[in-house]
Amino acid sequence: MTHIIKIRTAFSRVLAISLLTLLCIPHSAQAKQSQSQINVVVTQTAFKSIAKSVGGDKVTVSAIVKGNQDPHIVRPKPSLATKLKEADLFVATGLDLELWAPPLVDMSNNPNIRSGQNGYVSASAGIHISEKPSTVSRAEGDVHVYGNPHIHTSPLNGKVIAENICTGLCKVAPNDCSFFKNNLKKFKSDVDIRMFGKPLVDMLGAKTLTRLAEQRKLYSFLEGKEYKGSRLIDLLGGWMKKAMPLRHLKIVTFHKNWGYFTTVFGIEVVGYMEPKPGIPPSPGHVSSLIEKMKKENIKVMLAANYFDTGKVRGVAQKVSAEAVITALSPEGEPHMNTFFDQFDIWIDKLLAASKKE
Amino acid sequence: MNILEIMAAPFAECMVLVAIHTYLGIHVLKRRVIFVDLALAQTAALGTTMGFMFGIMPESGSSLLFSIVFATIGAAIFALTRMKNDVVPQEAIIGLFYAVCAALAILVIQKTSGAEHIDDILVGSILWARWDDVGIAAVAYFAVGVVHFLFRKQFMLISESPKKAYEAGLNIQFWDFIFYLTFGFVISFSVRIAGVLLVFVFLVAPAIMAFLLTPKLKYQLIIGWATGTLVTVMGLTVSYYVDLPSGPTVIALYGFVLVLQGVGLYIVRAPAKIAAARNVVLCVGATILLSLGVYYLGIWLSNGEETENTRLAEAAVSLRTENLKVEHERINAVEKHITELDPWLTKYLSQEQMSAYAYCADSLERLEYINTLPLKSTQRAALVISFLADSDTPVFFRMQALEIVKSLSRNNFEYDIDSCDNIEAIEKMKKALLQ
Repeated sequence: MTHIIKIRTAFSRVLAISLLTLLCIPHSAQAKQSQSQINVVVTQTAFKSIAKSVGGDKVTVSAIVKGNQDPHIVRPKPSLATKLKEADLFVATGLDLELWAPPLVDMSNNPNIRSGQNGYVSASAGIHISEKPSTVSRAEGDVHVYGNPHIHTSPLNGKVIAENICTGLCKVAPNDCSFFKNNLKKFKSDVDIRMFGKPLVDMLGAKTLTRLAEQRKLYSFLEGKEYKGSRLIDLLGGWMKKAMPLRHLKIVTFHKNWGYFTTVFGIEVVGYMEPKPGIPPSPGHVSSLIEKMKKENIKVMLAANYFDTGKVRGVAQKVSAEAVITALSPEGEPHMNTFFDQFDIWIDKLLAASKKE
Repeated sequence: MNILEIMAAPFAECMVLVAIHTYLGIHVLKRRVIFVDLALAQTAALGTTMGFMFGIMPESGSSLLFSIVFATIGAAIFALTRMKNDVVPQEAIIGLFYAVCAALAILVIQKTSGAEHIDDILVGSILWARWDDVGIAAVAYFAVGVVHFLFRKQFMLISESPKKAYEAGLNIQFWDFIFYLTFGFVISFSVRIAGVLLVFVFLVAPAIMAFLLTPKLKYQLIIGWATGTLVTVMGLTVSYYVDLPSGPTVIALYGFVLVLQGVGLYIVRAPAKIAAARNVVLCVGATILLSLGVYYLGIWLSNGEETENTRLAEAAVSLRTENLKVEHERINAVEKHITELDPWLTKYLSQEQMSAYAYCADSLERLEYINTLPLKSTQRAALVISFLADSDTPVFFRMQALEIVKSLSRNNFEYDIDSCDNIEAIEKMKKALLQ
């Protein structure tokens, strides 16, 4: 009897030791990794792309929501809490888009990434938020009480997001701050050149161009000015040039995802498939929408690929419009790998759709 | 746009659904396997989800094939689990099967990216029925109808009395498999258009109405089809004019009509009709009282507790503080910008003018400020010179500023707008314009 107990205790000791070693191995491996690189966790893939640009090889970035997923909804999984537990920096929109994020941060038991701490970045800080509701009431649907939170759909907002991420990185790794600031400068100038073209950025400066574009005044300003005999509008390059045919184009979108994108490029959204944000379409709303589209001759519809695309195509078919279905964020469809790719693809797809008659 | 243009296809789809589901519903009620519909629907949905995992879009034909294959597997399982002597009721196995399939679908969705909304697709919506969907479903249902018509004796005998079927030497498992196979085939089509809930109601509600009125199959079918059509027309019309989601409206109306029918039959069939009518009136009164009670309970509870509204109010407050903070930061920024301006400007400009100039966001705004505000000519000249001296001023605005200098002095002081090194020109300007 006694030797059986002995064997048992010996066996349980072996078991305990092997379990302990198993537990230690991954931890020490991770500790090594986190010493060399800053572990950044972001909510959306657009932030991932920007954080990579700013952080360079000094960071590893992972996103919680994939590019073809709905950022409003994330089902909690144990792996997400583990991910946040190991995060040095957590980047979220900071509005009420990711309502799932605060409980997840609580669950992760990582005090450094709580809102207000050094390891937390609110990507939307300093961005002029549009569509702020005048009255806050659930009767208006699933409204975002702070305004439209889909900030990553404007290239210009990308610069502010990058600034916010840079500030966060400097807080958690002060020694590399100048490296991050250099990358930030490069990223911002990349955005400007891709947005307006290099000649115009050199001539008018990024600040003025950015403000005019955000106030929807850029095209009319450029049309009225000349420099050394050539009209400024002819010097425009980048996305703003490419998207010029989309100016005043009337479209219908499913949800208010693309508010910032359409504003900056002068596209007019005249209706939504949803009667109110987050509320599924009802027969009366759909029939009045179809009537409106026929009356105003609207030929383009735009929807994120996580919405029920059959419905969008159904309505498009009824009014013989083109349905543009695309990812809302990078990595959500083939060839859309970075923050910059999304604008190339959105503009290309809308141009193709608007040319089909 | 009138009601027909948008509601015609959903209505036709409902008619096709009523036609086949009323018939199948009668079988289901007789067999006492009410939830077989939900279980098969969930199996078909699992098929669609699995297909999505391989990149097959839920609207495509290959996806339909996936769900039919899965429904066939489900049919085989239901046929095999029918026991001669019921140790475990088959309904329990069907329920368990439903739960396992639903759980598997959730697990598959978790491992597949972009599938958050696939459950919406699986739930379907009658409002989005298209004519080609209706056509395909009608052909498929017709085929099933033909099979059931040809073998009506076998199916009916097993449904009504499995014991007699055993005695007659029928291969019950084979016929059960065929029954569930055709059933699953029908469900695969219906659920993707109409959604699980509506299909379940179409299956059970008309059949119940018919069962309550007559035991004869022929009349059951006629009554089921007639009431099904009537309630659907009413439901879709209400949905259109009151602007309510179509499926739930039809379902709720079915519930309401069933209650009415039950009450009507209770009075008609009661031996003492007046007493029965009195009971009904009492029940209606009790229902009204109960509704009022729930209403006031809701109001009373919502006063004390933290509700959605308080959350929204908190958000509004934090929004206001956020706005104040932004404003404060802007004022700080202006103060910082003033220190960045040329210090000699203070000789010519007041403190307010300095901060207004510093408040301008970019070169264009500064230039507009210089051009449009009522300034003395030395003040304007001082600002233009400072503007031209700033190496950050973009070339286009230098050009425009130089025009102002020219208009003030008819001289450009050899200022080169493309160069960063204009120290001499700036000094000349200062001498000529500021003294």
